[in-house]
Amino acid sequence: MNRLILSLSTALLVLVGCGTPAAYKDPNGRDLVVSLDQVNIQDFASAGAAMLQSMSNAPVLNQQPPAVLKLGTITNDTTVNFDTSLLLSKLTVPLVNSGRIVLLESDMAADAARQAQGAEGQVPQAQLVLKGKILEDRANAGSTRQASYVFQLTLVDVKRGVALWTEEKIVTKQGTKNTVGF
Amino acid sequence: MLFVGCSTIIKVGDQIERAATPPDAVNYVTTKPDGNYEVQLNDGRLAEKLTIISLRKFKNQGGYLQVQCELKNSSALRQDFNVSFEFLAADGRVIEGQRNWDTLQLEPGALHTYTATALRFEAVECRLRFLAK
Repeated sequence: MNRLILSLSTALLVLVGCGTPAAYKDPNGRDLVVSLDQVNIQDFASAGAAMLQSMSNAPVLNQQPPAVLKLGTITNDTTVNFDTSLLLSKLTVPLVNSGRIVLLESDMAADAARQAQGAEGQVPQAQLVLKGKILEDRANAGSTRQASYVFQLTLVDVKRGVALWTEEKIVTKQGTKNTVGF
Repeated sequence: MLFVGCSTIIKVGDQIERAATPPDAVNYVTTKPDGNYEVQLNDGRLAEKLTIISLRKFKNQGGYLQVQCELKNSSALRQDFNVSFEFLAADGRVIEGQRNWDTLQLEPGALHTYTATALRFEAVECRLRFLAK
């Protein structure tokens, strides 16, 4: 009888399974999911923070009045689909909010406003364009998988067509399976 | 017990583990107006592994505060350290900072210079935050 109860209990325990209830996490914390097959939110934060630190030391971002920046194309050359503004916002938000740059909006509303001002209006022109590329490199050794994501950004002077700042940041993750935390 | 499931078992296990090991405490190194710096180590494990050799602050060419912290892995094993920073105004307000953690992997005896630059002119002091892996 006891053996039957024990067997039933074990079977029930297996059926119930091991699960962790969903909970809110600090997006800048250390216990986020680390995936080997995709770029995680903390990867954008890490790359963006490193890029921001490097970019803020560029002489062109230390001038007054602040330069007018236009966002160029960020090519996603990885196998994963994501919005590249996840990276760009890590740079533009602190730079705009601290007054280090003026960001030229290029949406329909901004274009309409510029048209309404006409030729005599004080329409700001982009002095700088931020462009870049995100690449991916994968390698395996037995069951160990490694994924590297390469973030490349360049700040181009529009008038002269030369790069005033360029930086590369590589985020590498290695393991046999996805995990939580780092 | 059966209906409670594994989450409770995991929670109890986590509590036991937390009681058996010291908590992850955040450690600080803060610049001071006189040019010195103050080290506040709250995690004894980190004190055995990490040595703050120097913390220098200066203004970069644009006039923004920049700090350079020289670190050393003083343990006999490769260590991962997590670093972040905040910049403070003259009145002590935190005005900007990096919320996410930079992970530094240092070989035994390795030196590393960690640099942080402020985005605002008001920043006059910097508080570096350290966390053991």
